[in-house]
Amino acid sequence: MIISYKWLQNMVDTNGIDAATAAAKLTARGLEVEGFTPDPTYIKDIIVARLIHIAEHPNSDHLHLVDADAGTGELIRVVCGAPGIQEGWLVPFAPVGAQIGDLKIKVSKLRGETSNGMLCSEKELGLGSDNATLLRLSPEAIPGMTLAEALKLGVPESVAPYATDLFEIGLTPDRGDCLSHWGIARELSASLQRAPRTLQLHPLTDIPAASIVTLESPDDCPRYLGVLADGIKVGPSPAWLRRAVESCGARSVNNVVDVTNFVCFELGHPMHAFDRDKLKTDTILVRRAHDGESIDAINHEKYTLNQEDVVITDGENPVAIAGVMGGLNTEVDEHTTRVLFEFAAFHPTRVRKTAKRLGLHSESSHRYERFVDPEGIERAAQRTLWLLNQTLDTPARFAGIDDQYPRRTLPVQLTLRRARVAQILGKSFSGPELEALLKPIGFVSTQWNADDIPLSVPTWRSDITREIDVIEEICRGYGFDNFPAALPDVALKCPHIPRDTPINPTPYPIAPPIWERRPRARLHDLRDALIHTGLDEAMHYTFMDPGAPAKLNFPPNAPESNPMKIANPMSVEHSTMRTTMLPGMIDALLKNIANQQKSCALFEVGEVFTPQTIQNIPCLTERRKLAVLLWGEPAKPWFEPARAWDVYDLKGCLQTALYAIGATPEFQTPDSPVPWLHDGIQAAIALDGKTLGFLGELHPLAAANFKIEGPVFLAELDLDPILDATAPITRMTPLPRFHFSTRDLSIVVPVDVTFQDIARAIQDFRPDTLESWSIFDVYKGKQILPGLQSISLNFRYRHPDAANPDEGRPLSDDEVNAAHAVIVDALNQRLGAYIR
Amino acid sequence: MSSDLVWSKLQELLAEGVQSFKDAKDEDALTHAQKRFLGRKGSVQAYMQHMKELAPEERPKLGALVNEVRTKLEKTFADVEQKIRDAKLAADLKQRKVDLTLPGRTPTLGAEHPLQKTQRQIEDIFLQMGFEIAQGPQSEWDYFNFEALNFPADHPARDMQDTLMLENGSLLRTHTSPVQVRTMLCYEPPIRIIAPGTVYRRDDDVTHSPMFHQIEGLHIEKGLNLTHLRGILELFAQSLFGKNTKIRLRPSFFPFTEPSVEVDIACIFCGQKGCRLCKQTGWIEILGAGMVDPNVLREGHIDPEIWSGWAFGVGIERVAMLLHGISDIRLFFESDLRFLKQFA
Repeated sequence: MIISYKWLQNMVDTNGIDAATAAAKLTARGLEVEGFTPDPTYIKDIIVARLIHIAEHPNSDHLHLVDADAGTGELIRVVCGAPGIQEGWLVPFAPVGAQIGDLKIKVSKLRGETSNGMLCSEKELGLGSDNATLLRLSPEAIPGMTLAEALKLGVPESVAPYATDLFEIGLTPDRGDCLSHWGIARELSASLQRAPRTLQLHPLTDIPAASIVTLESPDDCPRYLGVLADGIKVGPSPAWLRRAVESCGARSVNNVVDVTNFVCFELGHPMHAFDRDKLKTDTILVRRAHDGESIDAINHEKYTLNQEDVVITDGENPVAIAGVMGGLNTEVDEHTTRVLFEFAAFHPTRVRKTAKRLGLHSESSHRYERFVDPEGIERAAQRTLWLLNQTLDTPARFAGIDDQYPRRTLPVQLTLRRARVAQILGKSFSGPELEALLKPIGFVSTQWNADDIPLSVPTWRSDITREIDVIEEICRGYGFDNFPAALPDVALKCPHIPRDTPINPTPYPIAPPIWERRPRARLHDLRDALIHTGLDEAMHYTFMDPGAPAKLNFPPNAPESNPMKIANPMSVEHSTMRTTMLPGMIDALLKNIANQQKSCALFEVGEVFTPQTIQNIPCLTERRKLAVLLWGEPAKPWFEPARAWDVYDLKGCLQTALYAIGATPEFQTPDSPVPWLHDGIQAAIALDGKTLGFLGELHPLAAANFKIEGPVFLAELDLDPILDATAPITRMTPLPRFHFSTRDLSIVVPVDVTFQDIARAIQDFRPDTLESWSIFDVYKGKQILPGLQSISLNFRYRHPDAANPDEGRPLSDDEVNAAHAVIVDALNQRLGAYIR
Repeated sequence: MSSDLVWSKLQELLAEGVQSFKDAKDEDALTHAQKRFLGRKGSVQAYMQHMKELAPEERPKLGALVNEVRTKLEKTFADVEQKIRDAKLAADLKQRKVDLTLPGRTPTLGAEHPLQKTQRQIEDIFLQMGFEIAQGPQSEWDYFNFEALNFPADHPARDMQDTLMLENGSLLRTHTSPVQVRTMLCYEPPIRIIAPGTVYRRDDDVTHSPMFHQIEGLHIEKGLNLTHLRGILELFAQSLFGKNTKIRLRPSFFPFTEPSVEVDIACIFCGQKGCRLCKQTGWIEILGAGMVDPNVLREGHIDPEIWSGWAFGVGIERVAMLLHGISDIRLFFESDLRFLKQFA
């Protein structure tokens, strides 16, 4: 909302207060001045000059030679092209050296005559749109004074008292009472502790009563005051009026419309002027619209209405959408002489629903949605009629008035307990202190000194209905920054005891929200470990393109292919909630490939969303997941050969990170392959027999769908079971006192024998002297027959009681050989392995 | 042979030995000289064979003489040996060089996402103050997101948060505040929680993303008041932005708090002289807060006459953008490695 500081000055004594100070005071009261246009800096060099002598330019039919007095003690010769100028005018003058925006004024020659500066129009100074001739300043201006000073003297005919010092105020939606200069002025005057000024009004008492208005429902329209005005001459607005409405962002239309807008901006009361001669009858009926009824609004759009909408009718047809916009057919135009003014209050919800449904938001609907005080309507009418007459050479004749106000809006009565004030604010206030804070903003009480103060709330404050709301007013008035800071005296730990009887006013299940500290710590440890393995952390939109699962090779009936849809999405890409993190990872890869990245190693921790029916309610289940992606070839380190990422890097990252938090999941060949991974290059990740997710190489069809070259290694798994598991506490094993012996073994087995097969065989036949074993080579190639592979293993043998000095001893060669033979036999029998 | 003669011969041998040791240029030459003079079959030892040729009373004298020469030679040998070793070490120290400005042999460290980093920093500050972490669903019901938080139906306050609706009739939560309600419904007061999480609004530009992150705070105890809100938020701001950070409270409006405030910090970039980041005001807005509205406490079955509380909500993106000078919110979610790797 735009507020003109000059306009405010008509209502508040701001002597000694500059615009910036006023802006700060308003911000401190919660009326945040977000933008502030100070006196334009481009007029800082401009001074006042009087035109002393004007002569024709000898070589031009439109230029003049002007001798001007700019307070320097001698006349300055300027060449000027403005028409209609007269000796004696006081005008803005840019002397040589002055800067107007980008323009630097220099001595120049115009058709042979020297010009020592420039005389300016309103437009040339960026003050307004008028470029017809020079800007005429107040007769009180003195040659040589700055233009800024001269403008403060007021300018009767033209320019811009309203075009400077504009505040852009970001108003919170509870403050309907501040959607006007008067509302802001009230706050400013409270802040400055200066009483607001009175406005000039036209009394309504001498207007004859008439029967004009009928209300169908006082709920929809609590008050409607109609005034008939005759003998009006519609024409362009005087400059002050035009400037005022334009400064607030409205278009100047004519004097009648501009006056209604002026009062709307000034007092926050929207109103409407109908051309009385275009109304079918002299009566107004406010009623609900009929379904399908339509109206052509003044914005030249046609709107179809229904029973939810309130309309103003002329007894027959809708002539306005109540509180939103007037009708085109009854608009005031240059031929209008008789006007019916509407000053009304409408129900906020009605106006809001209609404006929202029609997508039609106006200055009027904006204010009605936020509450317009029915009690203020009379004053708005008085102000309007007074201002109207200021625009007319002959005052209008007010032929009739009808004020329909069936149920008066009474002030809210409440009690302010001083003890409660202290309880909430941590500071006590005395009766006189509270009176000083509350009275200037309209609160009334007969007992300011009582412990429990009875209060009458001003009717314009629809946001104040409770004691706590008044306590906030105390804060605003006293200043939040005047309260001290303190740390509460509370127990170190808050117990958060679950309620005995769960409370749930909804049919939806509620999971207890507190997340234990341990799983959170494990999550962060896991993330840290992943970062230490070299992965960069990503965060992606939790939205998903509904086409993405199919591109990833998920069949149409897979849960991943059936996400929850967003009813009002911003784009197709963001139209469903992700069922898998994979599309986000692939998308990130594609963007990085486009940016010439040669390697991409990312992980993300986040939620996926699965539609699920719980207790007959269609819910969306959220699960925390981890996704990892590797692609390309990392920059070659100087100490080893270049190498592309492979699937063992992926598995290694996961192992490192999971082991780091004490989770030891198993990596198994899945029972049936998942569709998004290569059939032969994938593994299931399981914990305690439960599959958490998968890792492997992206399915070639999916890679082709996304046009990715080179293999993509991907993993996705559920995290919560891992985070919730308790890591076993490590128990120390006594240290051995006797040496170990080692044996290496290279075996040849068919290529389809897996490491897991070998591990199981060793485990099943494990001699008690086998302390540990490891694999140190896998070879498939020329030196071995096709279909076979050579696997090299290292075994470490030690006496099982090696930690016990009495029972233990070193193993003899024979004992080690015997144990090793058991392993060799087992591998041979189980897997057909032979020693190479 | 007379002892004098032996003595003079020994003197010659001594001189010759010393010279040989001194002439040795390396360990091999020195060892060779050592063998020649001091070895079991060396020249000095050879004199001991003259022992039997001497009169018995002369013998101890010869022994002493030989020993004296041996000692002197051994001393010279040790000196020369030390010199050669020193020279060798000096040569090694001079010659053997490795470029330790080359990178070490380690996997390249990845980068923590700046939002996660910021979130964790904020969480840690409150965890240290005894707050617990609470979580709620991102797909939320109108009751928790609006109604229980004192948003009247059909009130313009709802326009402050343009909502993405889901097809099942739920919505994507527009703030983390519904976790306040869920927590109050599940636990007896006192309550001291923060609730970090993903939130959504129908908004998309340089400073607004349809998905972003907040941390909610809720503290309900007997006797809490506005000065405690200020005290804890001041402590928070000082923990996050530096111990001398000042805060300012400005009146604002949130339906679920009364009174409501916006909290600004004194601009950490210009020391309140006025700069682009604080728009010349010297203050930067970082969060919204307020005393919990009695209607919200009642909705959570907590008696507002007995218990009072304060709450806050901070935008994680906002803080991260401020701390790291990030100009476009969308960069957080595009996984551009040129962006992410800056935070390694």
